[in-house]
Amino acid sequence: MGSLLTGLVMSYLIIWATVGLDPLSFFTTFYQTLVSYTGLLESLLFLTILGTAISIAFYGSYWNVGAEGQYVLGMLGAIYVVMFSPLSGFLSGNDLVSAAVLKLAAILLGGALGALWSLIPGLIKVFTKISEIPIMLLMNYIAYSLSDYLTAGPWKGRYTYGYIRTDMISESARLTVIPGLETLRYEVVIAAIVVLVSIYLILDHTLLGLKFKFLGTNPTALKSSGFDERKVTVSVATISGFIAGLAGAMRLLGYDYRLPYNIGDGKTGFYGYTAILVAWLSFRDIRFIVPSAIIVSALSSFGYRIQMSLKGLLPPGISAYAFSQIFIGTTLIVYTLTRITKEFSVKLVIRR
Amino acid sequence: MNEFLDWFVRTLASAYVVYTLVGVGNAIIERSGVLNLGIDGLFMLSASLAYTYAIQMSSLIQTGFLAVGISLLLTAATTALLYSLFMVLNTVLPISQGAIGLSFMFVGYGLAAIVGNIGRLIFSLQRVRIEYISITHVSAVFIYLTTILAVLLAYLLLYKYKLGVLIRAVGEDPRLVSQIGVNVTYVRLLSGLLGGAFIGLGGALFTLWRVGGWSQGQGLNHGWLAYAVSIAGWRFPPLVALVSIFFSAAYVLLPHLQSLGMPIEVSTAAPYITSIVLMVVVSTLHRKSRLLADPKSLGRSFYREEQV
Amino acid sequence: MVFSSTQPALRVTGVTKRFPGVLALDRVSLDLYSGEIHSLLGENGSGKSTLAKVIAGIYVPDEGSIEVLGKSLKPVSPADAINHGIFYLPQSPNLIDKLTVTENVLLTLRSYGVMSKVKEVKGLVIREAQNIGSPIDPEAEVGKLSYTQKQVVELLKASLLGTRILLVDEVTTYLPRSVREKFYEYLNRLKSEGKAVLLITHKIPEAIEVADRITVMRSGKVVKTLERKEFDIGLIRKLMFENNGLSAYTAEGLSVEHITKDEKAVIRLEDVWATDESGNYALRGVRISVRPREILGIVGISGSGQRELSEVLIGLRSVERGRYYLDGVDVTNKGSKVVRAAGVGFVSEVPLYYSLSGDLSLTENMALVIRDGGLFLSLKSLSAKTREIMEKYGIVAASPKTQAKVLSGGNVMRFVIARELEFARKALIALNPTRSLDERSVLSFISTLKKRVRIDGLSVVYISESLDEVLQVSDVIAVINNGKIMGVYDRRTVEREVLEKLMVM
Repeated sequence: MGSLLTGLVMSYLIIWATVGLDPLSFFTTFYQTLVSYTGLLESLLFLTILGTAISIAFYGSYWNVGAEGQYVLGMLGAIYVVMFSPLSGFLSGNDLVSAAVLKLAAILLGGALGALWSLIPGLIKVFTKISEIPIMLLMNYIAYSLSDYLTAGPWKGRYTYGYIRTDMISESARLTVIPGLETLRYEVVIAAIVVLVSIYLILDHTLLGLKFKFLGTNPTALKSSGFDERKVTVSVATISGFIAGLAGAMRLLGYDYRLPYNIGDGKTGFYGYTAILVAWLSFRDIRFIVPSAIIVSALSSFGYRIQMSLKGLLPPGISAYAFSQIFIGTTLIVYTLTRITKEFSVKLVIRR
Repeated sequence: MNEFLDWFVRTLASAYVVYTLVGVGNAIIERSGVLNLGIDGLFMLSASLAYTYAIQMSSLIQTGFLAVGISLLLTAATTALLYSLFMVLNTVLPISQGAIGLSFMFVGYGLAAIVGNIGRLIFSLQRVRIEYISITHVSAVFIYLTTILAVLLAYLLLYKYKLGVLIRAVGEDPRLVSQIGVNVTYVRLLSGLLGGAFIGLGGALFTLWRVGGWSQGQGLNHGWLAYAVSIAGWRFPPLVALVSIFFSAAYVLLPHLQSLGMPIEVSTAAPYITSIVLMVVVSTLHRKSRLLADPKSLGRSFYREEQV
Repeated sequence: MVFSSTQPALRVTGVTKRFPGVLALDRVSLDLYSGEIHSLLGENGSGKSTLAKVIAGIYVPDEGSIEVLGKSLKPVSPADAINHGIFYLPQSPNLIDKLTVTENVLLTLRSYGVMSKVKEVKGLVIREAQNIGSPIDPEAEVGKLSYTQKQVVELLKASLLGTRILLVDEVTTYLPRSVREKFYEYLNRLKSEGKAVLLITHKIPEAIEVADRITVMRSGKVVKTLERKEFDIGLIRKLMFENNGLSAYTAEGLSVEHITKDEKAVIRLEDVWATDESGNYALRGVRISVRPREILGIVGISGSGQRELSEVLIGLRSVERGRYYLDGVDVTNKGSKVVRAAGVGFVSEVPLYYSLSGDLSLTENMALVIRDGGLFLSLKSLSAKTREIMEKYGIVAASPKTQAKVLSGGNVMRFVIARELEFARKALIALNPTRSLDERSVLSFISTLKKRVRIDGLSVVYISESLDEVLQVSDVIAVINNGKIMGVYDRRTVEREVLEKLMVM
């Protein structure tokens, strides 16, 4: 927690040094963000799901910075099932059951595509030892391009009024809004809970989870005990990607309802990147993912509000993007530093 | 045909120069055993810095040429300093180099946006002539030559001088090297200064020569493309330069396949796909040569603990 | 004995060094004069290497002082020691494999700054190598040199640094006879030049042959320093082994009846060739076989291929040629899964690297190898089981939930031993298992091991660098040298000298 506050203060100092925003409006905006929580809940859920996906990857030493791309692939899978696949015919009637089944299929396919997108860098890592990080980051951009290609090409909508985008998915394919909390969907809430619980079970109560933990801390011990670290890496990559894909699928079915063009231009909300911070802040402990997601969504929303208030001050303005990036970076550094001094104070003493 | 060649050479130069310099800089840094995962953020930052420095310089110095030159040097210096901090943190803190790298990447992204916007702000407030923010008065040949010389310098330093011996030794076995009495942190700091200067220069040339201006998000991902070139060149400067030629040529030509019927989205993705394929293909080839092999301790945290 | 000056070149006073769980040096004092070859003699674990490392600045003493030519010095780093003319020549050369000879030498020469050219040193290297009497190619990649050549490079470094005090740590024990003679000549030359040599060894004949004075160490203390005229093998042996240390290991004799000669071998390696990380062959045509109820001891000097052999046996390393049979089944290159499934345990010399994860709890570390089948783990029952095993083997820790890295070195080792002994059904591979154990734990380990062998029919491959330990533990002894098995002998009839000779050839 301390590191968060420090990160916050540091970011403020950076902003103040470069732009000169007064402290009062800075912190007032912060307060306002916390108060309007309904918007927060929406991003909280997605950050929880994505944060879990990335967190479990971290356990296995797999730096899933490609969650953004897996998220996009999830969206692609979902819209394919409900709009372009032969199965979409099931949506025409008033049959709630088949609609539900179809939505489930869409979500699962989204997960599968996400898993695939994560599997590719995973396999590359296993067979060539090349770090997955640059590959996943590059693949994020390939994912954006793929989405754009489909949106402008085979999936181009008919009722688009001149914009390049797909059509909206039909009513029956959309996720159910929770009355009273219009920003939420039942399915997403359920999914978040299911994902959290399953991951917790896997990590602490299965052999697979144990293997993940060893992969991330001492792969040699894993190998000498009879396990194939390559298989474990592949498992981690697949599970992580699957969950990220699920998130994307649900985003499309529950909120976006269509694919836009130039999706890489922020239209995904960059959840895949912010979720990295969530995973990091959770101290490699599943129990802290939700609190961490709360804080991060508060801060992202805060970022947007700052941008609004700054709009009056500078012409181009510092975008929320910039702010959140800096914030992520400084918090990570501060957090890492505090973790170090805590855990390794003993070792530092020995050195001299 | 002549026109095409002319255009090709000129355009290729700008891409080539950037990827080669950044790729070589990355090679120097990773040869010392530190994973340079912050490269994209720091590259973007250096691209923005160059712009803003140039804008500032324009009000201080009358000659466009000189102003731009100084901006290049300033950017190289700033990036060098940032990288030396990066190296020290990586060596002194016994945590994952991936974590530190990613942190720097994010901070780099954010700072790049801020720095660039500051520059834009100043730009809009004062009239700045174009020659202060782009190198239009120097021929491509000169830039090519400078790049080749830089690559040669990197090669010599890494393989013919003690500095390089130290850097490579630290990348192979830092524990052994520190037992011999060498200060590992200091060596890594030096390699950060040197490699960072290269990367900063590459970023500066990206903005001042290739683009001649600045916009939000400038330079994003080019750091990773250069990283791929660096890996494909097995972190060996002359080979990085060679790979860079092919890569840059592909990068420059591919978008134009659009006229042959390839959808624009595919050609946008092409450089990224090429990078990945390139890295994978190269790594499947045998690397027994001592000059080309991966630094043995790349990415491993350095513990200066006593061993019984 | 006349030395070049009355003031000692090196004076060690009251040096004490503690490691977790063991007192390595106990108020050790020693004088070393210029123009003297002084041998530090002691068994494994006597502290002689530790003392040398303290002098060399690799370890920092907890108490005591070190003076060089009267000037007080506490080397807190190897650089300090080198600056004072002290050079530590280790058993395994401190060289970077991927660099050339010249580059490695350049690394050590502090007088050459960061911007000096590699070429400048090349001439120096050639000249000095000839000076020593062992020409060497300056452009050669160190990783491709033989052990002797690597030591030559180390000597080059020492002489180019203007070393006045040379600490030779068990180097000569592992040089071929002919090279050893040349090395002694070199040491004598240093002596005549007024340099001081501290020769650390555990071989009494060698010390007697070369040294001017001998200091015997035992259990971290200096027992006595002898002048040349007092040299006597019997006396020295008595000083080195208080109660003739050999007997301390003979916990229970191993009777021969339960080794049935015609039972098929449990572990068999046939003509195995395997490379190490640098691509050189670490194992060349290794052939061994172990029967049920048999302990095969494999002894060799450090770096003879033991590590690679243990890795092959547990399935961590693949072989390029040859076959590996477990109970008659070909498991060559099938990986550790198959080996583990057959019930083979593994006790390694670096438990936190090979067998455990320091960051995870004891229960988790136990569960890695010992658990009920199935995908789901019950933390409660695993915890109980861990506690049970820990009690059985006398391992003290707060609870099974504690992280493995919190345990002391000795306890970590005992934990791994416990786990693997509990797991092993068919065989156990042990590599230097007693390295970080105190005497009592060693005895208890060996006796438990022998019990498992005799009662449960376990087969053991016991790989060690300590000849004494191997002699105590094994039924059959094999010597490994440079990746080859030099000979296989019955423990009851073999002579120690035969084994030593084979280790060193």
